[in-house]
Amino acid sequence: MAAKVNRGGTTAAQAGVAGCHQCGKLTADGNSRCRRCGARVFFRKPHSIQRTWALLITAILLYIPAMTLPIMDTSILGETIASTIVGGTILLWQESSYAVAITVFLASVFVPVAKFAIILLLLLTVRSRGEWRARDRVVLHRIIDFIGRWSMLDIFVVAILVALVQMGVFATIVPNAGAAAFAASVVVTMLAARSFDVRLIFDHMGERQ
Amino acid sequence: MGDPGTMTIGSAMSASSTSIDQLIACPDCDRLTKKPELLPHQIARCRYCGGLLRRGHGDSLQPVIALSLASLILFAIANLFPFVSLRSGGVEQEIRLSSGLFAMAESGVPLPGLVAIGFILIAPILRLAGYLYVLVPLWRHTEPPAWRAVLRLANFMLPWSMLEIYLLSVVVALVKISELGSIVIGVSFWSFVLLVVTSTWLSSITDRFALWELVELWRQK
Repeated sequence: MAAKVNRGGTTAAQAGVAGCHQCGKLTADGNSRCRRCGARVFFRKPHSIQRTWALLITAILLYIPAMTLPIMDTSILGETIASTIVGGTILLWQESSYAVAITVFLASVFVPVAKFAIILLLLLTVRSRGEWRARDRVVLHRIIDFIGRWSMLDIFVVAILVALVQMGVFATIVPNAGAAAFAASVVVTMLAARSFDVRLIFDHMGERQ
Repeated sequence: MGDPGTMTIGSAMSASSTSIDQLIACPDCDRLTKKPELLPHQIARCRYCGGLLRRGHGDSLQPVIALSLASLILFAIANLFPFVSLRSGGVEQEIRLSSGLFAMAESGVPLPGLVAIGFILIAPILRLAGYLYVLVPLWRHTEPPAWRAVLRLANFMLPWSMLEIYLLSVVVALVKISELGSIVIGVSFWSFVLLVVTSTWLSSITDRFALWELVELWRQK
């Protein structure tokens, strides 16, 4: 196993030290508390892969009612319309608010689905312990960690509408069950992305030749 | 040698006789690198994976304290005055920053409203107030109780603080209801815009690694 020290240099784990996830201080004593900041130190996040699988499956299951159930009910002059996320986006498009329609579509449909796909890809490829596009996989993780929060956009939009459009019989907006499922799905997806320890991608690399 | 962790620190580092405190590990790929010397606003990225290794932080606590304090004051102003209002056929509905969030939490479907309160009010306030609670006494060379736990909590709040997303949501919501009546932008809205600027600025000059290193440096003074 002379090829063990691979071309990128030594990892902290290979050297027997762990970087504190909170403050970055290196500690030779894994599974203890950091002397600088007091956070728990571990070589890799505990049960990272199992936890990420559980959270990802939960998030996908929550996303189904989030898309199919209405997120809010709009009553204008006695007539009530229940709108789903996709329905609301189509309506914005038909009203020629193209920029807003695209923004909502990206935040509510494209980003969540892309996040599911990327986390799934990371989970499936980390098992093979291969070098395949390792750096690109880390970049993908960095991207979803950064953009995932923007999925909350439509929930905040509903919150503002519910507070602002309270004008009795003329116009009233109330939230519906889809909003709860969507908010839960976004939070659980964020937790899934954070529970996946990216450093696992580089572990065991170079062991197979 | 098959298992990472079997190699001792001695064997990995004796060649350059580097001590553990002069090294840092990439948070993304775990590769060890010599700790870079950085000026404020400089950023070190991992040579191997491109991950963000460190932000330069200088040796002063004041920029972080100043931006946290400015953000908290703007937050207070954003809550004191009308945020936006909708005028339609003689009826006017006005919201404050907080009432705009509490309405959904008090509705028949409270969960998304509670999540929104957590991300727009609780997480940002805990982050900003946590920084001040820890950094102001440290700056005057005293240690507030449980400061390490408070600083960890404040750092933890960063990804869950979504002020900038809320700002975009307000714009989208106003476009959606522009046909219902006329919209009046309040003083608080502009204060909120400034809050997004100062809190984004704060995130750009520091992060959790930089903050802990800065605090350590300051305490040695």
